[in-house]
Amino acid sequence: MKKIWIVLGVILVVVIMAFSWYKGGYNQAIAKDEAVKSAWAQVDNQLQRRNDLIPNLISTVKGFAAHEKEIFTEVTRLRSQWGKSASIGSKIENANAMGGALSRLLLVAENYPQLKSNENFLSLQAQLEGTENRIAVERMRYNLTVKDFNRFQRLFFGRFFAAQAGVTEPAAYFEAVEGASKVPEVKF
Amino acid sequence: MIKNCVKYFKLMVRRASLGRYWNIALVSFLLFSICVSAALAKEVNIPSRGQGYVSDFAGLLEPSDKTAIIKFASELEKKTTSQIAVVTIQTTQPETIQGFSVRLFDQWKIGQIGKDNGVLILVSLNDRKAWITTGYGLEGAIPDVIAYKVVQERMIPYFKNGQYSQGIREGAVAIISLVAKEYDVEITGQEEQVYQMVHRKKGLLEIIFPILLLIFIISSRSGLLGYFLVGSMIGGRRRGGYWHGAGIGGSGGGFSGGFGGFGGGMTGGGGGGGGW
Repeated sequence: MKKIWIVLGVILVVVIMAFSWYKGGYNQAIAKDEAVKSAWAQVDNQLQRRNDLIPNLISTVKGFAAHEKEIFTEVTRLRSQWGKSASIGSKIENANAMGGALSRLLLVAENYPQLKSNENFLSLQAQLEGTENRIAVERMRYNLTVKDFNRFQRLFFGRFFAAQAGVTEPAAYFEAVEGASKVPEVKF
Repeated sequence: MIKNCVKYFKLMVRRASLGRYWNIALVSFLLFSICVSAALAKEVNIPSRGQGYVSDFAGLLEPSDKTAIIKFASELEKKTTSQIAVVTIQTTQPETIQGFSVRLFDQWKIGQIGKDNGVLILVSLNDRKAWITTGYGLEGAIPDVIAYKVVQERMIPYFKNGQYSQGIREGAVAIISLVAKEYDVEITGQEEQVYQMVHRKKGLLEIIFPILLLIFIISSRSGLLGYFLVGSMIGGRRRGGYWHGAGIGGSGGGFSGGFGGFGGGMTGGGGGGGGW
């Protein structure tokens, strides 16, 4: 009789330990996954903010440089593509292309002295610059959470817990393309 | 620098293993880590902590301007909890001034935790650039365009003449007024003096509109309506400048410490600036 109690006690302890181990791992996976998601939401906000500046920017630049059609169509195309891209991967790709296109647009603007001294354009450029900087900051914070999550996923049992939390793939880094991260110098 | 560290480390290890001098290995390992951290610190080149509201690493500020900025900043913090950091530095190279500002902001944690109400004014002397970085909580009080304008209109005109101290003070005062306005408090200093916007350019509309209005009033001969319109317009004008009327001014003196360290604020990278 005494033996049974001991065995039962040991089983209970093991079950409790296994449960708390599972709970800990599962909760950690969820917390890290949520951190990635909320960091991405911040990036997404800032990218959206940049895209919201574009119609104004284009109409201002068009007023002075109407024949630079090529760059306008590209920026507009990328902007409409943004609305359609659903996955983080395609959004990152779109954002990088947009970064490049916008810096080309600003480079084009350099050739039009009247545009460069236009109040409206200057204020848009300042907003764009601030937004690019915000994107850079949120991108850095997002990548940190991705790093943390992916490291967790590669740990012993990490993949298991991540799968339990509903994530089977590693999170995608937001790698900045060379040149896209650089806003053209603002010089007057 | 790091390469040299590694070379040195290898040499020491070889000598240690030859003679089985493990203490040498240990010492050389310690030296190696110190060497590497020194090298890294040199690459990172961020001062580990500030000297209060004003950290004049490039030595641009006159003592009187520095005292004045500190006085206003500490009064601002007392009344609003918001924190201002004015930093001058020789260069941010190889980084951009924006990237450096964000890193410095993150490291010092300017502003209060949770409120994120800090502002960093950074002047990089050799790069000839100035940048204002706002904490998350002050993005509304100081939109990017306003930050850009403070730098372009209040600071750079002085910087172009080499009057760094004056320009930095003007910029800091403008920012402090903006924050004070957001929190609806008044920063008094000792002598009161209302700041006017120095370089406010009048747009074409602003010049033409009153003339049109006058013609309209005269032609319609409705004196009362006209009086009303003109009145409201003048009223609008008086509030025109964005940072007008916060009532900061006066010279330094009578400042008594009060800086208790930065409070854990974060920035989202908002802000503006430019070069000269």
